[in-house]
Amino acid sequence: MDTLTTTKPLATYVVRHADDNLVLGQRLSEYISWAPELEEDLAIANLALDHIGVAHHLYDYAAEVEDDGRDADGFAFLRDERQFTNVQLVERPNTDFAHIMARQFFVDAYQVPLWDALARSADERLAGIAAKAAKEARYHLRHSRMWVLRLGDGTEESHRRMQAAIDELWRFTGELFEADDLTDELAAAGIGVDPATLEAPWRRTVLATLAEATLDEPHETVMRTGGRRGLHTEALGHLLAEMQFLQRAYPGLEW
Amino acid sequence: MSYSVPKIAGEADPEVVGSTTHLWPRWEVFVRPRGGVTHVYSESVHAPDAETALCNARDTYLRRVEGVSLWVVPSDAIARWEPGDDRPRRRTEGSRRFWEAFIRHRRGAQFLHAATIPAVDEFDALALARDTFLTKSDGVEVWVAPSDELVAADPDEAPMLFEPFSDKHYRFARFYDIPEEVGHM
Repeated sequence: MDTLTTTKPLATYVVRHADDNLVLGQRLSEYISWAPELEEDLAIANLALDHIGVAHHLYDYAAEVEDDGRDADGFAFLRDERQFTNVQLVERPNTDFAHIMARQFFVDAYQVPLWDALARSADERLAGIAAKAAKEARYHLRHSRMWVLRLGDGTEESHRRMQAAIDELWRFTGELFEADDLTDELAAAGIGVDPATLEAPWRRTVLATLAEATLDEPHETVMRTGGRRGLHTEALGHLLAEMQFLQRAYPGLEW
Repeated sequence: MSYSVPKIAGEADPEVVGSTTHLWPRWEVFVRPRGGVTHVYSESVHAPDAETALCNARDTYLRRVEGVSLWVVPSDAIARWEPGDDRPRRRTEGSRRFWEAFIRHRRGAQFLHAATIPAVDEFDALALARDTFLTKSDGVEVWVAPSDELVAADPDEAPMLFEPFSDKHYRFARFYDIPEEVGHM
């Protein structure tokens, strides 16, 4: 059993999804003030807040389940890189606007069926958080899909950039659908979802959108893996260093 | 891809400096707040098309208001009247279509959707709106736009568009405690 983040399987499972959302929210917030237009800047700030909000609810719940004195901030600010269990996709850098929207699109197309499934969880608290997150994820997908279409089917330059982003990030998408002992156990209990069941709806959304955006489906490639086990790309450490600095330098600081 | 630049009455030609954002058409945004009886004007957004305009409007203007309905109207589809505008009231003969009329009664008052009215053309619609909704002494702004130019957010999508904002109190300034030393902000 995976005891990377906590000894309770449910808490570990909840923290995985919290980590996905916190890291993505932090990544998006780095981009605020850099978006190509004012309206998009506000949209990205909203996305960041939505993801951080979901992470907050999930960490709170994980802290209650763990019941070991650690709170949401403890999860967010006082764990090291190897204890973060987010998928590597969400930590990938803000290379350009196309990469940001491609990353968002891959995550959104995964989170819509994820939250829909978890909204039916036997665990009421998790189901409640998921039901709220599902509404947000639907809008997120509307937004990112729109940009994949606009850039893919836009100018020669925007098409080139979106195709490059899709190709570059494709190898990080396999990890979204990896099952392990923990997901097996929680799916069997009716609490979690088997990640493999999310792949078919994800592919339907993604492939239909790529086709409509005149983008090519990337070639089969070796998928990166390891995030759920605390193995990350170089990008995560830098993100955490910035995000955690204040709590590390001034432990317990409140503002 | 290129977009025509809408000419807005009284506004200088858009100047393009290092960005093509200004080449996107402007859309006027109307929000019906929770508990409100009518749509209220909420300024504008730039967007290449109606779908993007609705998204931009949602992200820009629903953060501070709890809305239940959202409209966008292309700015260049709107005909405008203000006091001093004495264009002739041409009541053209011809078939009528529906227009959306928006009225601001007094300076500083909200700019509100008043009604859907049948009219032949924009002059007819402006005149009808003024005659119907304004008295001699009030009215500082009247807009009319053909009803079929207005794009409304799909009511089926209300949960995804509006509900996520309903429990985010940090959107409002009063959520935050201001230290005493700061004084009045």
